[in-house]
Amino acid sequence: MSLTAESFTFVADLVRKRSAIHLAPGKEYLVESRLMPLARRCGVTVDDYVRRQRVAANPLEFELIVEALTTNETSWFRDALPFQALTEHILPQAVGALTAGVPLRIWSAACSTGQEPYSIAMTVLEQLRASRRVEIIATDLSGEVLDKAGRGVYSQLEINRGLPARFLVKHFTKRGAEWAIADELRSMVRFSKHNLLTAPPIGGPYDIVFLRNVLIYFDVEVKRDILRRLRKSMRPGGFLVLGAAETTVGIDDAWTRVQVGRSSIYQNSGSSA
Amino acid sequence: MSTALVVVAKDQILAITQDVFAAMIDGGEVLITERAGAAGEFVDPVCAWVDMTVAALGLGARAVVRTETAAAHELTRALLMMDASEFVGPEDLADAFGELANVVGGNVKSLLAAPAVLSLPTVAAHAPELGAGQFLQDLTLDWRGHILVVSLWMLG
Amino acid sequence: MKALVIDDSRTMRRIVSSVLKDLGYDTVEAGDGQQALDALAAAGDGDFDLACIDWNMPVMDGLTFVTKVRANRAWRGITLMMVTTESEHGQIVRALAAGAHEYLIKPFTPDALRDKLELLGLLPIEELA
Repeated sequence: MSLTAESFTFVADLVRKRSAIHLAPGKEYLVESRLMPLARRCGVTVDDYVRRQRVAANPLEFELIVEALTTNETSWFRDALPFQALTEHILPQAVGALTAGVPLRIWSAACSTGQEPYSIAMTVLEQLRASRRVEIIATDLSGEVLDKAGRGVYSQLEINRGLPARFLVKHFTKRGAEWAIADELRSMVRFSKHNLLTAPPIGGPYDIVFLRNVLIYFDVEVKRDILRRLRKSMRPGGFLVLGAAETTVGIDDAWTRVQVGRSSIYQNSGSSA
Repeated sequence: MSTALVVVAKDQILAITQDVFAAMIDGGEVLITERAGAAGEFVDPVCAWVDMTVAALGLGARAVVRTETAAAHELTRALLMMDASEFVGPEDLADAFGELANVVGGNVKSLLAAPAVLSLPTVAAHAPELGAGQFLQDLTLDWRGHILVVSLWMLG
Repeated sequence: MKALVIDDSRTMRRIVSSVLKDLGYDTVEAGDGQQALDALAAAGDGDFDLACIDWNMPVMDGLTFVTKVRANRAWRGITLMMVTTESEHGQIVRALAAGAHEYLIKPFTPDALRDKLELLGLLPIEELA
């Protein structure tokens, strides 16, 4: 069953208002394929899913739809707010909680082509003293994206996506038509293949975990499993950063939601059991 | 000084052109591809170019984009998000096609071995004279069934 | 929110304006740096939040415009973003040194422009119907 013109127009309007991306008629296939995981989660067709959301008008679900249709390329400092929270709240708190001599450990899960862990690394360089030891591990299911992430070479179009100009000139050099990230940053991040449905990667306990726009694709049971496993790999009091449309609330209650500016972050309130 | 100033591979020009079209014309998709063989003569051509000048060396390069006027109409509509039925005036056409040459040329400029200054684009019905210049690259492309040629010259 | 879109190509002005309008901006267009200065002078102080500025233009180029805006106290509140095909490392350094706050390289996608505004905290909060 295919998407009706009405549903397409609704989704196109929503996406245009939120992201300025135009979904021209003819892009029905894109809407169908991108929204399929969200619809499947509710056990309905894409068209029924869209109809349902039009009536429900749930802002979180709207955000998921926009997210699904706009995550074509990964942005640097994606969504901006989590990195503001990292700078203003998470890094000072996490560093303050560490015993002297213990490195700060950060895990960027589902890191795709590396923009997120490198953005974290740039923030760390900016905020922490050079003497502070920091370990960043970045994982993804796909070996292909990890290879690209590890090379740290990006096209101009990729560089254009949310990288502050001052960081571009500070941390990148032009190599032909592409931009290569500085070795200093590359050496801060260790890339490794990992499936979130299995045991967390070696290198913990983690003080900070970024796991954004991943949980949305799983049902509640799987979400709960992932969050529990995550907790066990984290230090008590450690910080979890989720996507704007994601939450631990009602799924795994061993997290405390902390409001930092306009973003919510989650703190591992339980013991490591 | 020789062509060492302008060591730009055909693949780099292709990548730049594909980025420009994907970002600004084709909604993120790569619909422009290299086409085997030379383009042949255009029947009703439109041509836009920008120059990159390295004043200190008295040298420069020129990026030239050529296509049929009908194809340039379609490009203009796509760039300006106009309907297929909307009339494209000559000024819109010159402006849009000139800007296309400007964006392609500006990115080519960043590949030159020395910092260069970019000119404003010129749009005409015919390609400029090569004169004392030297021909470096000629890339023939297919965009939605239209032929488009991007050339790079060395200016003496 | 109000933006000044400065580019000698009206094609490019229309593209930039259309993205900004979709995001909730009012836009005013100028074809070169001098026209843009005139538009700023004609407007009240604090009227414009953002200027998107091409580099290579006739009459007055974007870099000169940036320098002049930054020299005028009354225009301190305007965020200056270069939107240009100039993409050498050195050129970006020059623009930042002249006082540009951000830099977007042409070609860009609408979401790249949106990302930059988000980064600058200049994304109007949209209300969804």
